[in-house]
Amino acid sequence: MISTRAQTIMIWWGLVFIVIYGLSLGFLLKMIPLPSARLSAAQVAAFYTANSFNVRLGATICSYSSAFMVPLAVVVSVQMARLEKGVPIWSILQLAGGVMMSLFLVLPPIFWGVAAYTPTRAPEVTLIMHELANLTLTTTDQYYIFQMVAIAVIGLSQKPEPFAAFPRWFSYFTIWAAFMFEAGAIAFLPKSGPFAWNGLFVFWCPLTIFGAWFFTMSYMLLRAIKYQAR
Amino acid sequence: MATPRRVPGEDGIWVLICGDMFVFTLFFMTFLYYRGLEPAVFITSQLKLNRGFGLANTFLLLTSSLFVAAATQRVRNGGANPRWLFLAAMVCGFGFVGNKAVEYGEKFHAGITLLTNDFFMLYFVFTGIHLMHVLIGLAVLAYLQKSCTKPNAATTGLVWIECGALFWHLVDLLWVVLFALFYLLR
Amino acid sequence: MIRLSKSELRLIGIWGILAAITLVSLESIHLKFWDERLQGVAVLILAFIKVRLIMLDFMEIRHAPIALRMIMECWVIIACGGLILLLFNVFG
Repeated sequence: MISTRAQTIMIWWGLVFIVIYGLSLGFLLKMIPLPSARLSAAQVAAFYTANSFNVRLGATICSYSSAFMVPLAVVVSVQMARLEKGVPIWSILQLAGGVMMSLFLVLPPIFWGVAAYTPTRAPEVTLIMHELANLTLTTTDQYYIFQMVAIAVIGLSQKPEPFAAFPRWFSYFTIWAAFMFEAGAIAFLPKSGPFAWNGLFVFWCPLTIFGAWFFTMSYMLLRAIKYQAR
Repeated sequence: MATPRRVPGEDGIWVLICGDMFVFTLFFMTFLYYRGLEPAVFITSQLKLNRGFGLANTFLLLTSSLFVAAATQRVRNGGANPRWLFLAAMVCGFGFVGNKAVEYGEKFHAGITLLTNDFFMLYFVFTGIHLMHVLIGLAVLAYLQKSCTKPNAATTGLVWIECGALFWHLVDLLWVVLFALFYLLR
Repeated sequence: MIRLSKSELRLIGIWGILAAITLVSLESIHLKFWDERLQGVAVLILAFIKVRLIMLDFMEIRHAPIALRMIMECWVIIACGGLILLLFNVFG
């Protein structure tokens, strides 16, 4: 007996917070897209000087909202566990992966906030904080793999049921999403082009696919929970 | 007798296949876009690629796909020894990987890396991501050569075998275009 | 001797066509075209003919539901066409 209401609240909590995070990322932190990796220390410092207030405000708001993956991962695990027999090891892996990957969404706004915190410092110091933030956002795929493979394993081992939370096509979609995030790590290598931190394959593809996956997962869960409650 | 129409594998696998084809199409377009910006660099860099390696790799994958297609049919129709065909496909696949290792090694030895210029950045990243698909495909083939001997291979296990085979054909298909773009465009 | 079924012979035939097309596209490097870029067009079209064959006969799309087949055929045309347009720098 799992509380329908608690699950629904957690999903909506995650949805509201991801929207707040996204708006903050774009309009306050001004990091959609990330600025070119070719900017000099002086240019980067100038950006933080000009945007000191809004970046710090964005960091504050993200401080409240950037752990949005946590409630969703909990509901996903609970839904997976009801499908697993015995000790729900894949559900536990999903939870571990989902919670940990949260870290890399939480950290960049903090680093950007720090970069903007003291506009009068040496530009090279600001640059390093800026680089740390951007590379943390884009190159960190370590935990997604565990979260997404776990979901796919459970999804693909089920008999079809109506309003399933993890239907087969969604498992394949999750596997594809996991592939798409892997390119992010390449951002350490070039400073421009489609594999730089602001490039098509390192920034835009993962951003859109992550959003699409999060909203689709939320929708599938809400639908499944509603069906389970009837 | 007309063959009745059915979705190869299962519906869901096509989400993965179409998704992968979509992103590789983006790769192909990215390559030609950057080639349009620096045609001289691309054309001279391309001459440093060894067409022989590319051609060998193309034949290895085409042949392995033939083996996989035939093996899948044999599983479905109860034909003899599909396992040997899957193993033969794996041998071709390992050949591809070995070839790639030598090819990359040759480039590194000559001081060429993905930071050398835009052509080589795209070359190493795109063929590298494709190589990762080949490695995953080899794991899939390893699973297929084992599961095709199980008693349920032609019934409940057939979906998995067909899906695995589809993934391997995808890997072959994507290489066909990569080969054309990187090795054959003059 | 190895006994091959009709469908397997067909697969071998498809392989033969793929091999032949591969060699022809390799030869295109040595041919003279009045516009350099036409060599690229030839290479791309030949590549997508191969892709289509792999899709239809190895991936068995030929016998798939019409909707799926249409999607795949459309992709072949759009992808090939789009790449040819890029070859001519149409998108600048």
